[in-house]
Amino acid sequence: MHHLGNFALMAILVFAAYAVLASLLGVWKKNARLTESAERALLACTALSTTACFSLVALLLRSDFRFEYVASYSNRDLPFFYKVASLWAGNDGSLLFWAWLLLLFSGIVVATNRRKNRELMPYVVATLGAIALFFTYMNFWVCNPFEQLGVMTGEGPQPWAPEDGRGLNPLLQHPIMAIHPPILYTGYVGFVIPFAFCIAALATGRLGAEWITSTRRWTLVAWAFLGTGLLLGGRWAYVELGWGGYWAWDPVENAALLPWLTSTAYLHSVMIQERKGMLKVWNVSLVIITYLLCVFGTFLTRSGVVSSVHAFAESDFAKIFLIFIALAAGASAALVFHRLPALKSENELDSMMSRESAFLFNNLLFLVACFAVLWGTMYPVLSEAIQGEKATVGPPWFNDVNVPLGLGLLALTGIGPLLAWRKSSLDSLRRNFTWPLVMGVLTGVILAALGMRQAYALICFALSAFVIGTIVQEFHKGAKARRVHRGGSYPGALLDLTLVNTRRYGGYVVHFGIVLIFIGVAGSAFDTEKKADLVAGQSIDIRGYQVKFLGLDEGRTKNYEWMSAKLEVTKNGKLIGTFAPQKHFYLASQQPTSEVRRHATFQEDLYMVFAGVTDDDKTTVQIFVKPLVRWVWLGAIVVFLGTIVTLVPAKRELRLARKVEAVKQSLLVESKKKYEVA
Amino acid sequence: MKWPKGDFRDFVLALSFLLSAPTLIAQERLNTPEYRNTCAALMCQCGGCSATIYTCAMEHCHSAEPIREEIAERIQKGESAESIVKAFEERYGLAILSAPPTSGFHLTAWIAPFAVLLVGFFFTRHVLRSWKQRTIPQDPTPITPITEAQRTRIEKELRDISS
Repeated sequence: MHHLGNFALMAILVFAAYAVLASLLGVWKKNARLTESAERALLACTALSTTACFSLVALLLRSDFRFEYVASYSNRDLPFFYKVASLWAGNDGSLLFWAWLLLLFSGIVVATNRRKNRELMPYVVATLGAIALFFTYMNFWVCNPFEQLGVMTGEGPQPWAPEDGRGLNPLLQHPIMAIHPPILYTGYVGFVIPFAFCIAALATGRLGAEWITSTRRWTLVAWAFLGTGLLLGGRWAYVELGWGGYWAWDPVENAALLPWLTSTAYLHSVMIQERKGMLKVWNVSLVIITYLLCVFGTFLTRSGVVSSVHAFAESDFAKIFLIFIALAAGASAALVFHRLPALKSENELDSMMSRESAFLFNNLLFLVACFAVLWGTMYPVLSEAIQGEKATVGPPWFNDVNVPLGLGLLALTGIGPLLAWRKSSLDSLRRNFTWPLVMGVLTGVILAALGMRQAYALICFALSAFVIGTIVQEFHKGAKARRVHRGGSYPGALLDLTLVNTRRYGGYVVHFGIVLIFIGVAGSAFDTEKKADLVAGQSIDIRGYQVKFLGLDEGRTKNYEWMSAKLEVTKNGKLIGTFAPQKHFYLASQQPTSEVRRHATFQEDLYMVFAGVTDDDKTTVQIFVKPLVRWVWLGAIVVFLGTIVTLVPAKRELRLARKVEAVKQSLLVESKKKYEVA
Repeated sequence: MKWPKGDFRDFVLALSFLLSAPTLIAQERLNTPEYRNTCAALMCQCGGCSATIYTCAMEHCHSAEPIREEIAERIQKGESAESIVKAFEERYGLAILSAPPTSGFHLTAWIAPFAVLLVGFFFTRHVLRSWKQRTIPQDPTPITPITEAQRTRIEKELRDISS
């Protein structure tokens, strides 16, 4: 099987190199057969990459411990599901998986563009081929997952296999963690398609809306997957790590947040280019930066650079990755510079008080937030390099810097839709802002009167009410106008309105989801926790809850031993239920993990952790009351649904497409007739 | 009634303690805002979790557990949060602080994002103003007015598309 995997990797190197050369040569020589053969070579790479990936999965499923990767990330008793998930548990396997996704998406692009974007496609294929070449090179020479274990004997090195593997990291043995990496990677890798089209547009000089329209859905899907991946990671941390939080500003989390921030900025600014032909340089730069940040994130989390600059200096992997990023950035910048005259705006700004201005300030805040996260993540490396002593940048710094920026973005989420394109008159400003502002101010005043003194949380709730007011007003105004023109019921008008302009109203649904996430995050300002060492019968009182410790229980599965603390929970004297937070001790890796238990409502989560047993045989239990956490997960679902709405072709687009097709057909019939007459 | 003496008294005390144990109030660990803030100001030094002393959830963590105990002890003795943090910084170096200091070179860590925001704000305002002042040269081709029939047709098609 490993021979097949290695052969597939070698073949990808050949075919990808051919795809790059044949595409560029085909364009140069104006030879369509060459460019088409390049596309077929890329399709072959897709098949070969699938073969390589399946070869590694087969080795994992067979528990073939002759291979270092299999022995390091799986063991015999690992359930089937997690054996498959071991594919992305380590550096070598996850890079193989990354390359497979890249080639899978490349294959889809080739297959769906056989009759369109013909001028762009050779450059798209060349770009995708070059990136595939790099990743496959890394997989074949630098971090090959098919490497065998060996021992030195008198007769030289001999193959060797341990009795059992070291097993998958216990923290990764969780259903969310099994799906979180593929979802996150789909987001990361998905941005390669807009990037390739952007490079093709720059190379050909076709810098109009064509490449943007062709990649709109790719961008949205990649953005949605990256966001979902981030939130799933947060959910996993919340239910698995046992510290009561879902976001720790860890470099791995930050690495994925960076491209999400720039791509969100792009999703807003691209609307200005589509409507007014402005911000062309800005948009190509954002697409390029987003992709480079995706690759940089991969570099950041695998190179060891954050833990120490010395680890980075000793790593071949890191150096090669950095060279690739530098080359990609240099080539992209050169292309942008070369096309600067063609990237000039086609329009002027009518007024500072316009949606265009709001979008530009929204972009500014997204990019500053991106800079802040990057700066904070890289600052330890910088301080070590300059000062010789490493300073740590932890959650307090990230919160202090990013919370004001986040609130600014939340405010703009409400302001932007209330401003008209081109110019807002004073009258329209008054009309549009009145109700949302009343809602926001009223919320703030009521909460302050009720005794809320946490400034950021208070501002966040007031702004959330303002944004919800904006969204409700936009839907209501649209539905009212629709009913005046077409009649029908109010819910019918709302649905019709959304289907006519899915992008706009789907966008509002996404905004609503973001507001829910903000509300959930603001709830963390009111967290409470207690930790106590208990004997059976004792209890902890926390914010109206009484948590009584009933006793310990223990058991064993094939994969791990477990111990649980049985807790009876009552609230204001009423029984809620019995919960059993656990500790698992994984046999293969000899590592413990926590399995928290929660009583979750929309008001708050009661979060219970069995923290261990003390030397004097008392059971340590940690209880958190975390208000509004559920709103974060609900918000994530709403964002995802909103994105799906934006992906649905609008009625208007469908009608236009049908009309264009009808005109095409009639022209075809007409020209056929002319030809027959002639 | 005489209070029992010696071994017998100890036995009675121990028995009454054991019998009443389940009803005793749980032995809660220190959790004052001062304790929480001090723990959050320091990073766990175990080398693997990148969590603060407050959030490190590893059981019997060789770094977080003793630091937590020491913080609780010092706070109970009346020591201030600043002096506790300072003491740990002297012992472990800068790496134990969960945020860079707000003095010297490390001030740049705090200033840089807001400096970028300020520069970005003025740059964006400049760009917007320059766009507003700019006039795009109009197409010199004279505009031919459309006929009434063409106008009706365009309006009908626009209606068809938007309905």
